[in-house]
Amino acid sequence: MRLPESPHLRLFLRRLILGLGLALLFAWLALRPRPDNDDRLVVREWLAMGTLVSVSLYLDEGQSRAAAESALTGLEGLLADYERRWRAWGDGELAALNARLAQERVSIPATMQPLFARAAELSSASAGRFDVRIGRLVELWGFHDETQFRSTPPDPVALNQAVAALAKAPPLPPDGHAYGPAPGVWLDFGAIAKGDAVDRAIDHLRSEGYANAIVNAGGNLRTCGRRGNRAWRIGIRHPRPDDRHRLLATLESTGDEAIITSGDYERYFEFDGHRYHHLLDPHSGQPAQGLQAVTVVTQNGALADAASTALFVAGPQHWREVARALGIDQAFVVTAEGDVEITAALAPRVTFIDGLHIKTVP
Amino acid sequence: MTRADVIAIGLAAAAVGATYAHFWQPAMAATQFEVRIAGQPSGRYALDGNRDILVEGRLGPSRLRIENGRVRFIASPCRNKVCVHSGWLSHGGDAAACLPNRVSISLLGDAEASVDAVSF
Repeated sequence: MRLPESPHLRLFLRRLILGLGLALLFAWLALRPRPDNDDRLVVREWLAMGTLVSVSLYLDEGQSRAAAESALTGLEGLLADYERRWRAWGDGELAALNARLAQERVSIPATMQPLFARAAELSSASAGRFDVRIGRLVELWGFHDETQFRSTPPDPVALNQAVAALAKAPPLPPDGHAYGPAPGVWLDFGAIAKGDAVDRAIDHLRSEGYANAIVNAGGNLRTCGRRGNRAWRIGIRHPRPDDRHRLLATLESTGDEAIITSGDYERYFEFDGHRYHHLLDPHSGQPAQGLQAVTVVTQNGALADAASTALFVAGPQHWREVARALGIDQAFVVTAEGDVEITAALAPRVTFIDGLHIKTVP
Repeated sequence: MTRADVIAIGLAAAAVGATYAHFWQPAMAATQFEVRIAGQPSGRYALDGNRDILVEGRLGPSRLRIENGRVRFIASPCRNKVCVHSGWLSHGGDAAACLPNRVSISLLGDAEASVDAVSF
């Protein structure tokens, strides 16, 4: 193609081409796919502990993907053993212990004593809002087995008997060495074991040399390190997601903390227009009322897990005092009306979606 | 500045606008998702077009619906439909599962604009 003779037109075309070129360059710079070191991110998901477990590792320079995959296979084995040991119903150690508990004093295996002792401590610090002795209640409600969910509330007489038996049962021993006889008690560590498991998983990965990781066991997650040159970015699920909002909030974690949420949407059924969920109040035997979700951020996963349940059961009036009693200063709750109350220590870290009523509390 | 300069600047500005309009996506939007059955990857699907996908799980088929860049479970042979109640997923890093049927989906997106994990 020959350029036109007119010098003005030639100048115009030259400028136009330059201008369009620059425009496209800037647009491309703004919109190009971000350079991401995805080749250093290793992700694995599998079904374990009755939920979806997802692990992300960010490799250091020189760490190989193959070695990371084999560390993850080791972790799968570790969590499978852990799950079997702590399952309340089944053929593991806790289930065997449960089967004898009504009649006799049972010694607790040494490997299980630390979590027994921790559960005893957190149960007493939360004034019984968190209680691992509630297995019979969980069973009556049918929340113990995802394939056997009920769709109606249990028989009130049976439920009242179970609540009365629990009220009379001995507390867990603070040293975690032996327990029983405890008729009416069936131990269910479901409100603490996933948090403890993510702690152990992070410890395992660290001992294998992986300092940057997220372990997420069905929404109960623990972070360590960072994702390369940025912090790990964590979403918090909206308790009543709609078309536009699946997440309620996001926060960044530079590691070494657990971020655990308990919500009335995780396991529930609806009957007669009422929602019956799995977060049972040990004192009434009924699903706790007044909140939709509680998120707790603290260093230890077992504590975060138990605390998220305890705060949920404590409800809108008492969650703050129970948090203090448990030593939790970073937490937020979503009330039954969909409003957010967040502690002053956590508020600056969390970015909520628009349109929420957010109240910061001391 | 001649009239030609004005035209050239105008065209350049229009080109920027058109490029944005063409390529812009909402923050944190995922571009595709992975389906797993009992933890084993069974396929990756783009989040474009509107269509349903049937995934054969342990109990039977789970139906996934893709619509306007989002995906959700719309039916599954489980009792309590926790998967269906999970609703639409659109953020990279988000996931949902039908545990009884052993079917899970996880969304993949631009890593700089996604969350790395979701607490629920």
